[in-house]
Amino acid sequence: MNRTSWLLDIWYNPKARCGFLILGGLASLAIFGPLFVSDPSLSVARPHLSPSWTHLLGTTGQGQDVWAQTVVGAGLTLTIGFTVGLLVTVIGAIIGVISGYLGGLTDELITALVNVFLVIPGLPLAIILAAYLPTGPLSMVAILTVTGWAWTARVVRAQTMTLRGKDFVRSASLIGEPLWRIILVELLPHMASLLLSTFIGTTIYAIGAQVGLEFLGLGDMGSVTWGTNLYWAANDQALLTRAWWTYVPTGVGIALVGFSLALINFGLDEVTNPRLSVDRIWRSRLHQLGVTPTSLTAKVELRSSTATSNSAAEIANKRGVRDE
Amino acid sequence: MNKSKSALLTVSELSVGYLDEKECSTAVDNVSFDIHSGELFALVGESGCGKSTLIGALLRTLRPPGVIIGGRAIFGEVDLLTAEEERLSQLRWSELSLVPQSAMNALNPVLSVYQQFRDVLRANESSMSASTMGEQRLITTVTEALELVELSADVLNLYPHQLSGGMRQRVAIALALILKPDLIIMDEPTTALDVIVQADIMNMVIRLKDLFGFSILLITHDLPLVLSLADRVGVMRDGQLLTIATPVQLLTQDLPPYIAQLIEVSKAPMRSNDSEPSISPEEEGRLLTLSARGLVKEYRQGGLWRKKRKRILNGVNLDLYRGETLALVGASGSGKSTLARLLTLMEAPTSGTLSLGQVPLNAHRVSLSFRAKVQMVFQDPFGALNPVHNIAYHLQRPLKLHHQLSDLELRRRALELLESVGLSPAGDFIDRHPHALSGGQRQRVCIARALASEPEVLIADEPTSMLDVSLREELLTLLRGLIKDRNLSLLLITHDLITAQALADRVMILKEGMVIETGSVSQVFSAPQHPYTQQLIEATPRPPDPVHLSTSSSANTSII
Repeated sequence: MNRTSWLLDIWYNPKARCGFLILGGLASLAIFGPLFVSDPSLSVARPHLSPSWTHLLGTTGQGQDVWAQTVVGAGLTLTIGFTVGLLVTVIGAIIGVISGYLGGLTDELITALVNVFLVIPGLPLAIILAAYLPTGPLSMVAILTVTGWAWTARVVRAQTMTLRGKDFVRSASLIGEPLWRIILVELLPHMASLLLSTFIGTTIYAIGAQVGLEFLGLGDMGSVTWGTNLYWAANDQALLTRAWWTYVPTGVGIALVGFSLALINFGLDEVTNPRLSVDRIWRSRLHQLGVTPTSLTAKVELRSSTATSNSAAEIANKRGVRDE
Repeated sequence: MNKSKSALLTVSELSVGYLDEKECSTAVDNVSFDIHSGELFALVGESGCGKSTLIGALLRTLRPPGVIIGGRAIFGEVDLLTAEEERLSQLRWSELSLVPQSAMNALNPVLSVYQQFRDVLRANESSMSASTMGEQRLITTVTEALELVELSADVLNLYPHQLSGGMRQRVAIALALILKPDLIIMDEPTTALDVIVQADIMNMVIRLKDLFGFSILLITHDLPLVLSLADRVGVMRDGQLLTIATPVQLLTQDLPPYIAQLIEVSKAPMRSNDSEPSISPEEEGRLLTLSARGLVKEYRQGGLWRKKRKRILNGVNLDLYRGETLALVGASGSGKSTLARLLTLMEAPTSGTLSLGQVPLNAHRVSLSFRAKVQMVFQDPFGALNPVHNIAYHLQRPLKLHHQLSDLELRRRALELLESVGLSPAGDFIDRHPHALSGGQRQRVCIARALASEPEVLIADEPTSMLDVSLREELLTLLRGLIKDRNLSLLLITHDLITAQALADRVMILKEGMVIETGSVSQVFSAPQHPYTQQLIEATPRPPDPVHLSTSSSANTSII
């Protein structure tokens, strides 16, 4: 497999591309949107106005513009989400690779620590940490990273342990490669897709957990994020007053981020694991040839002209490893 | 012609293809053969010849993108290629059964031996006279089946991982036999096993076949094995069935060059005995390179509190002299690979000492110069090259680590190395990735990489066992040339006596972590001292003498 080809393939995968487009749209809204909207914390009109042309998504219980709040809130929420995703992946990967590759006492100690973090329930710990730490985006990142890294470390450790036994890793150390090169150049390229999907999963988790903490009032209530939007909506009795426009836009935003990341993950899965798509391709090919198979394994009648266009020797070459 | 016997399975003009997004490529091309009742029909071919695909089509287990595109396979009254799934599941086990390639993976690891049998029997209850079998009758039936394959009833409640490879294979054969099918398809049934176990199992299979009168379709790449066992042999290459003949015909007639070559290669060691150096290692003036004294290796097993020690190597002494080839022969599990790991300082011995030249070695502090002097070639050429790097990278890394060279010089030396292992013109290969090379070419790259640091000692762990027979001879010839040119010491680890005999000056036989016999090749092979060595030599399959064959099997010759 060529190293860059599968990254391109992800883009050509319809699911992943759809996910990228949605995510790209949200990201550009978060980056450029604040230039075009009014200050979200200013009270600009009467409270709980329903959507109209002057206030596209209406106003909150404090008379703030909901559209402006949603657009500005996206920035901080997404930044924190992706930062946590990146940090958790990097820290988890480093600890996991070290633990899995070195083995022995180092591994036992790290595994013990990882297990401790895995059995501590994440959300309650995050709540306690959030209650005691000074509020702000940095502590939010710290809280979510501390509660999230252990699972990544465990998965990467397991993957490293299977790769460590491979002959190409052993032969690299036999020719005298230093440890850091074995890890960075020989091992990590094989984990690229694993790390990418870990990153995506963690980002989804980080956004959800962050919104949850802030909704509980454990974030920086002075800032505008999707979590604080929901907090204030609940605080201002949005449900009782049926002011749906104060919480639905934020909810849709969160759902779209999760949806787009999940789509990218599906696409990644299909690209890195060709077996998932082989069945689909096979059926569509048979359909093209005008055959509907009665059973997955029964004989089909193909026109002879299409049937033998490739010599068996070439296939033997292509299949190489799999036979035997 | 022998049409009097009715054919049990008639395969005619079977073609199987693989569909990809653009085209359909043929993997099995118009293959026709038939199998008579009570016959052992062997299909022989190298990897990629289509034999596994053929089996997949017959058993209807072929997965997409594979697709059967033509032909018929009449078994009894049924065409296996078009039959309904329900009809097929009635046939499976009771009339047609399979002994899969590696019984290690074919048995369900979470079921005990008895449960595996019970599942098969229960699934086929409708086809038996007694609709429901009592537990006691089940146990009796299974015990009887196990007795047939020479296993005691003790294994009933054991799980697959508690059995040895040979025992698992016997269980798989007993499973295939339990409903007394008419045809058993055996897909490389003994490939993963040692020669001694292989000989036992194949003899047992023949005995059972004669007892019950079922037919066998044996798929294998091992021609010598087949020549002494099969009634008829079909040779496949590139999806086509080249010929069907009896072993006698194969050995005596004029045949297409490919088949002739296959037989020739498997026949005999290629050493030209006249130039045998016949030096005893203790002779004066021979330089000791790698030597080991009293090597012991134990692994700890079990949990945190109850650790058991398992002793893999038990006091091994080894001396490797400059320029000699020492073959280390042993069955799987005898500790050969562990010894290789100790000798390359990949792991530290539990006790015992190692030295290179006169310098003592310490596995916890390995110098770069040791890495330059002792190199290794691994068994599996598909696993030993990292698929993300190209050939240039694989060859230039050791050059860069051990010699300070400019980038231009690195590439020149890498090209030279490729030429020296017979990959010529080297420019065609150097920028490829490993997946674009065949198994034999990859193994050559592995050898080139091992030679890059200009080592004194080369350790080769079964360097040819993953390769097709026709490639083995070339590779061994290459190795022999390289050793001679560079005055290398080679430690050849193998389970294959023929390879050892072809290449080595001295032989060491390893059994259960101990060296049981050492000596020059001619000594050990002509006058083996230890009973285990004698057993090994007897069990090694070699093509039988045609004269002897024709007399012994004249009773049941069936010529097409």
